[in-house]
Amino acid sequence: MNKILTKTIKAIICLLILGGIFNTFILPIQAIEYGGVGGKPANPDPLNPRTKSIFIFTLNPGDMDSDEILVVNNTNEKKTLLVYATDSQKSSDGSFACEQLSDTKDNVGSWINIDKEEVTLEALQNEKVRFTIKAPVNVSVGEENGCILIQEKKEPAEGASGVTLSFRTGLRVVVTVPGEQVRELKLSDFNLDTKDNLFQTKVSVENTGNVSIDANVKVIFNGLLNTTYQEINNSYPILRGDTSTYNFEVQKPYWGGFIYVTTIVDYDTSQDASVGIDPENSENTIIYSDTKSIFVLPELPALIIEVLVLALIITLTYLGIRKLRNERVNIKLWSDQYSVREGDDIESIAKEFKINWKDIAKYNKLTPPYSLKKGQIILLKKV
Amino acid sequence: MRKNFSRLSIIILSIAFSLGVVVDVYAASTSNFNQTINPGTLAIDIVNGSYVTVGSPSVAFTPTTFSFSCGSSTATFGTASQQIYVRNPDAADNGWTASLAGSAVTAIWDGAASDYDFNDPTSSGCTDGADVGDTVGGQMTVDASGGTLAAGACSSCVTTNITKGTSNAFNQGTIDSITILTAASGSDDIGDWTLQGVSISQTIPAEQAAASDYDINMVLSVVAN
Repeated sequence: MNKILTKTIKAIICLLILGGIFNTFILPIQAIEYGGVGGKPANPDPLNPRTKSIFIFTLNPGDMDSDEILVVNNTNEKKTLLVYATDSQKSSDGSFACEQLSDTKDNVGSWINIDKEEVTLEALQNEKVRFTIKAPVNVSVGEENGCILIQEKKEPAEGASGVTLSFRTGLRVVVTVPGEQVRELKLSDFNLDTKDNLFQTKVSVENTGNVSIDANVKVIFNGLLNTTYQEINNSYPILRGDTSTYNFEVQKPYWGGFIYVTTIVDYDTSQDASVGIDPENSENTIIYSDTKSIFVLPELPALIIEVLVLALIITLTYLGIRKLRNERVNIKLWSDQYSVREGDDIESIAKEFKINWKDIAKYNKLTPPYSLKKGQIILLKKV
Repeated sequence: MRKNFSRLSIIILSIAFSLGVVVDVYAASTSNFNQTINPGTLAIDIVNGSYVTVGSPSVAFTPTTFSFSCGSSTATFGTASQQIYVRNPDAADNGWTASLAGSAVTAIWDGAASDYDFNDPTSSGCTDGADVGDTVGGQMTVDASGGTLAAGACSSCVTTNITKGTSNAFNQGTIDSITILTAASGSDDIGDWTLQGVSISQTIPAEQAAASDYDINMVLSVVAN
């Protein structure tokens, strides 16, 4: 017995010691989280929150400025990262994208000179890399965009087949050349379609100005009586000269019905507005699309319920109408006036005029014990 | 009795040790605690179901056989074991765009014996056109609209204000980059998302030589707006 107790105690002691070691050393290691490679602006301007994510410069023709990129390796391995600049390009739907390393640079990409082309970082390390940007002397007023990208350096795979993927993180570089800003958007396309159980709206907005504009694109789905069924409200940057297309999907209403869809685009036309800066004297311009309407069939269970409810309403309405009509007929039928005589009671009158005494009580609103007074006028059915 | 007392002492000491190791770390009044939190960065990757980077991600196209007519092959980009993964740890507060592009506009499906293109729209990709840099036909179409977008490891994150790209075909000089995802400024500033089921279709010109070594370099980018 004593032996068993000793063994049990020893086992508990071992477990407790192991538990202590596990708590102290193992758990914190599990808490480490890795997060890929990339970069961000190293010196954001506290007055412009957008500079936390992208680089924003104001340069007169021929001017030069400099800044730093914080190149980050948040993986658990040593990595060599390529750091390079490119011109911007429009992605398939007009979103902001960057050209490839191998593409010829003839815009902002060519204005940027990065101190290092490659950075080798140990696991969970980062490094600031300086770069300069110089606007050409012949640059026109307005805004130009480019990119600084961080991409893991990979040797080409020998004998690979299929798609070989590389991954990169890009930071937009905005360069504004001071002068008269033309801030103008055009709603160039608005389509409404349905697919399966979804509404699909396609909204295209064209920037005809000389600077990028953060446009607020709102798509409102209204039901009958102007009740809002769904509303999409997003803000997107639309680059100078670009047409951006947005595809929004919204679930069709379960109960079906008419839906009216309108797109509203609003943006700031103030000369003081710029990327990341909302001026105090903002001048909002709003563009409305025409309203498109569409009838949607309800889902099958909803359709069954709707048919049943409709049938119930029709039946109740029919019964109600019939009752009203009967009452009207009865009012006409029960219009003979009779003055109650000495010795009359409801049964004797019913017998005399061959009418059911209950009907006399009902149409004269008589209640038990149905007593009648001499001279009382009651209505009797016409013979 | 004495024996039992000594056993009890051992138990108490053991408990004290097992807890004490932890307690000491927090209770020491003279220690300097150092904690480095590395800055987060917007990143895109291919990860498995546990959000671990897949070392050599693959996009498997359906096998085709030699044909005298123009044909196509399809693939699904982003699967349960190789998910497209975007991570924004407060690094792109005004939205971001994830897109797919060739490593160069002149990239091709390169084989030892012959090649074909990924961005030539001539005859819907069936013949070579006037695109620069090659003399081969072929066109790739990417459609993210049917994909499944979900919040990743972040339990409180939502996919609101993130839209999937529509079907587009590469067209040299016109569509060199195809949008996979667009996050508007109203999307979560801190979050991670996965995308599965992006459809890819590749037009293969007629009489394309049979080979198993065709490969192409593509770039998956995420850019802060």
